[in-house]
Amino acid sequence: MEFNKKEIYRIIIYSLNQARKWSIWKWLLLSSIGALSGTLQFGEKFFNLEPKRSILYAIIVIIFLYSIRFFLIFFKESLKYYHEVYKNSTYGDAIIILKDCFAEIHYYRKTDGFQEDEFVKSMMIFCNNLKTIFDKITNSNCSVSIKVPVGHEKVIENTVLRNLTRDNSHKTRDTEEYSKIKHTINGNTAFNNTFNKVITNNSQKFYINNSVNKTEEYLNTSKECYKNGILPYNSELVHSISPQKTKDALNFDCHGFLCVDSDVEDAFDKKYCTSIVEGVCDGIYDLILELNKNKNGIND
Amino acid sequence: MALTIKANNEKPLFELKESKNDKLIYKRVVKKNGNSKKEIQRRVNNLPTATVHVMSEDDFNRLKNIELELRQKMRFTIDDKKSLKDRILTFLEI
Repeated sequence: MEFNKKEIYRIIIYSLNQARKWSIWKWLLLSSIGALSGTLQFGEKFFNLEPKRSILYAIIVIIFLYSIRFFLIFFKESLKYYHEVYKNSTYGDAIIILKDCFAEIHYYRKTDGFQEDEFVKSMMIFCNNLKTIFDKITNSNCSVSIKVPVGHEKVIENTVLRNLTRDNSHKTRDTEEYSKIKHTINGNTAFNNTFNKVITNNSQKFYINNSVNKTEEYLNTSKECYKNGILPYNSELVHSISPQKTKDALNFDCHGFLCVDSDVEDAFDKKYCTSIVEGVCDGIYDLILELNKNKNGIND
Repeated sequence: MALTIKANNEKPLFELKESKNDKLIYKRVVKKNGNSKKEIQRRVNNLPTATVHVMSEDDFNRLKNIELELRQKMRFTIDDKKSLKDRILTFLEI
């Protein structure tokens, strides 16, 4: 981030102007005591102060009060400015990274023929870029994964959600023990809750829990993998891989779930974090649809 | 094929309506509230459904193998290499 001299100069001028814009009675009350005591000579009578010295004290008090006001206003304005810069830089970076993600989708769509490796590559890029975005936004260590329903056609009851891909930093979570567990929708509060929102056509098809390890009646099949059932994350945000808009009002599609988690509590907000995953899920939905279309030769 | 989904092991929220190849169509569970079976059926039929698209085991394994190959080829340096400044800021939570 560059040091914006022009902006700092603007804040200084603004603070200098604002510092003198104080209630007139406060200036008079706090600074004119010295001046009055000098001119009316009661300072001399009671405090043995010469009139000149009384006026000097009055000037010192005025300068002191003005300086305090100036520094406090400057500090407040600088904080506001840097907070704005930080916010812009975080979300600005997110926009740039997301642009790259969606470029992958568009490239995949434009590429003729059935290319599974391009599909997987896009998914991996999505996970890694989303991790970078959420690390910055939440100022914590986040993990992003895409879970899809997998099962044998004849054995529907055994349909489970499996990890299609995950960000590179958290590949170690995909242990043998983890892959052996049947991660079902009903066995996980997050999937269950999110899928219920899909079927009820809720506009917010996500589940946020900012304190998973402290939530009672919170089901998570991954707990078995960890000592004492304590998950390696404290906040989670799960969104269904569904289209944002659909013509069919009687049936809603779900191709899986996008899962984001963070090692800190209270990591995700309902406004910005969810909007980012909403857009991404819409994009991933298109990718999976394209994959199926190419595979089956039909518009699913 | 009675796969019923429950919220926190309490009341079922939705259940499997039908399955078509790689699609599982779920319907919502409607409370009886003294209504007749016919009435409940009518209400259920009017409610929207949700389709879960299931990936076959073979397709999934093939994609996972591709992922494994790509992971060896691709480099994800952004998240792995944090600068000293970033590490200090993360530590200070600023």
